[in-house]
Amino acid sequence: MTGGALEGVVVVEAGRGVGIAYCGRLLADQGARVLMVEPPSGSPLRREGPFPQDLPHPEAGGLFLYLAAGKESVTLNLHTPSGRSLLFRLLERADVLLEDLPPQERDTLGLAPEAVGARFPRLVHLSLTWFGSRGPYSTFQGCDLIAYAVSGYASLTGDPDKPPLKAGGRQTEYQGGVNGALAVLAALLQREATGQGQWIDLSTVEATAHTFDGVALFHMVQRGILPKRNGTRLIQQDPHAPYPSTLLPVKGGWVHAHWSPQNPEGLALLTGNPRLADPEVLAAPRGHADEIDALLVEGLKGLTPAEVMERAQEMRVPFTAVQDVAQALSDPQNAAMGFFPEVEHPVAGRWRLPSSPIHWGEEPHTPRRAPLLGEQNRAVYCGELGLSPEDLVRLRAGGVV
Amino acid sequence: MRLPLEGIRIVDLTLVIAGPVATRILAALGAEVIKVEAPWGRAIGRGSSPPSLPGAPRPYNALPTFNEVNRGKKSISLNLQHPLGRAAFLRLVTLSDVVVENLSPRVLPNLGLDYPVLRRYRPDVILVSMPALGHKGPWGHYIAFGPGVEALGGLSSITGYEGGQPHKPGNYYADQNAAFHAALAVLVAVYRRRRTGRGAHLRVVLREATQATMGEFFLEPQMTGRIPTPMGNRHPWMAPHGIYPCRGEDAWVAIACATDAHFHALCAVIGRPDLTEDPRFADSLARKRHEALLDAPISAWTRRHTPREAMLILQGMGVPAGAVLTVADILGDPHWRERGFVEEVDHPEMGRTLHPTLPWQATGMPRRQSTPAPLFAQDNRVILQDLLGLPPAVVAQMDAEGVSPSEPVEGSR
Repeated sequence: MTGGALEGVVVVEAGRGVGIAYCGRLLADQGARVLMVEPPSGSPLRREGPFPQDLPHPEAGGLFLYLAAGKESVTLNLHTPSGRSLLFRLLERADVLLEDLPPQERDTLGLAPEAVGARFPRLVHLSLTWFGSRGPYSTFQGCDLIAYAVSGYASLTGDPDKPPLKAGGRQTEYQGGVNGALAVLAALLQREATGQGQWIDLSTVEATAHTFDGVALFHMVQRGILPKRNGTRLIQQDPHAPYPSTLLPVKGGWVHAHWSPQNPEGLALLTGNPRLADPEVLAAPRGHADEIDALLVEGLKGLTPAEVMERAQEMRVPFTAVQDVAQALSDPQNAAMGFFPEVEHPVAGRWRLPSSPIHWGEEPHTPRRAPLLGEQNRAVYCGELGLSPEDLVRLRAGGVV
Repeated sequence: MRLPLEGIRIVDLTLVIAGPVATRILAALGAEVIKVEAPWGRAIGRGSSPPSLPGAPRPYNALPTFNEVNRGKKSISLNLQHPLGRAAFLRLVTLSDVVVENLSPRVLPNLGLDYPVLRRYRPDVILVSMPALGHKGPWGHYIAFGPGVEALGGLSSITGYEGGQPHKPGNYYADQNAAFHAALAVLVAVYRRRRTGRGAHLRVVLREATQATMGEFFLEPQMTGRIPTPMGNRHPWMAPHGIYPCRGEDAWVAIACATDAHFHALCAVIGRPDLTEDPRFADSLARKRHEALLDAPISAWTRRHTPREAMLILQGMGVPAGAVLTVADILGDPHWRERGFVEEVDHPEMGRTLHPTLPWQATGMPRRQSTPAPLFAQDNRVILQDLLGLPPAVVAQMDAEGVSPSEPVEGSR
């Protein structure tokens, strides 16, 4: 249940990567109509796993089922003149264009921002690129690892005595996606006042570095301290900074241990060790990090991660269990919130897909299934653009759809 | 040129990082954001990590993280448990469009200030709550901060060195990630209200936002029966794909080859064209199988260059590569400078400080230069007297009695 907030908003998504697809998924979850324009061979995301029983199938990839949920699909070869002219006809009826083409290719395909803006003045056009459309690195090639490096984030992740470490998954691409959705909504709101669309130049690298907001990293540099990766502890190393915030081993797994702002003596109560409430320790917690870690590991010995979490939370101490993805998928809290609803797909079968982290009211949001490749070709090209069924056959023969 | 949220007034009841970052984005987009701080603000409201600037006369005004994340906002102090504080708050709500909070899910209901109450005072109010794990369910009342949310949501279990222990993205990743989703929720709700005239109560769950940005991983155990584990800097099918040592102390470059063309160009750059003839590296499947063997020849070349040099040479030859920039590097890098990602703010008690801005540029939307974060309660008079219309005598009384003090009240919490 999303309240259909973006009902009536038409989005054309001509993308290849995870970021633009996540942006589209966020808008679809809020009720926008998102039309994926796929090449006749299908979105590259359809070729990425996981696949049921490791059998690759363009309709059954887990990444695609997740990111394309709630969208429609038409096929279109943008490298043909007829393909481009059909895209422009779609854009005439659209509010938003999402694309992640490399800047040179984008311009070659007739989607240069100036040209699109002149032709569709009310259109909101998001260009999501690795490094942005302007600047000395704008022609560079990228991927999640490279964006993580250039964003500065890799220098903050990992152990001090080992190489910098990338976060698991494709976090930079998702940051591009959520910032893209923010930028699109801001543009739609502004359009209400001005009647004008806009072109948005968004860089995945910068979207990732946007996550520095709120931890004063630039200010540390100004004070002569270089923020550096610090294991599973936080970046701040001032001895008076609060502590713990780290991962610690317990019986059969790990927990995240965190200080309690409202209950500083909680660690002592949790472990039965008075040293953890010693004024000397509480006055300079970060300066006693190694000792605190050792006392917590000793005091929690014999308890599983789930037992530590339950016991700590009863005392209002914010410790949590480290769960693997199978544990998170089936934990009682995700069940209560309805975050992994089952979605039936005619080819792929029934799978539990992530819902939306944005809840309207009590009913969890169950996304509609991902579309089959070109599923809406006929409805869109014939039903909406007025092509005849014969036209569609000709376009298919010509490799356009 | 107007900004998208000009004319929107937001009451900000957020603490720590996730909530304040969300409202900071809204301020950057033109909203008037009024922080409502507890009179005992120091405990968590104004934070403690990292500590205040040494020697600051009013330490609660010289907090680096608070002052970063609250740029562009106003501040009033109000004790919401006091009848006068509560009345002033509700009057403020009637004059506002949005309320954002990330308090524990029990706090607003306990104060008698939950959505049904706010709605009586402002029928089209938009309330956005940001619980850590949810507002119901067996763990809904648990306390968790960003890194703990990463642990519970599975992100820690897929982050780490190959075969190593669970790890975490540096920094407070889950907090900022949730903040962006919450700011999006506010924009969507404002858009809907302009269309329908209706308010709403939205909840943005921190843990779920983390799970959303790794959504495909939750399909893996369902589809293949495998449970994902840390891959270090490796990739499921790209090879080579890693972070390699450079000339200099703690200096590194990331290199990733997705295609044969990338690999051939890499071999040419590092002076090892022979590797392209080796059957162990003939295609991406073979390279993935023997990827560890490529670390030595690649490192032999990268060690001779600085990270930036290596990036420029490799990218110039068509190889995807990126310097592992430090935070200091970003401040001096020409690309970042040209894109204007860093802004300077002049804070009355901290001086000139540098901060990240919104990561996009749009035609027709000027970048707004942030005003500095507010001093504690600096806008009490403007808001209580001028906006809410309280008589000066009442404002003075609220100050004197600690309901709306101009200095934090110590020790009450």
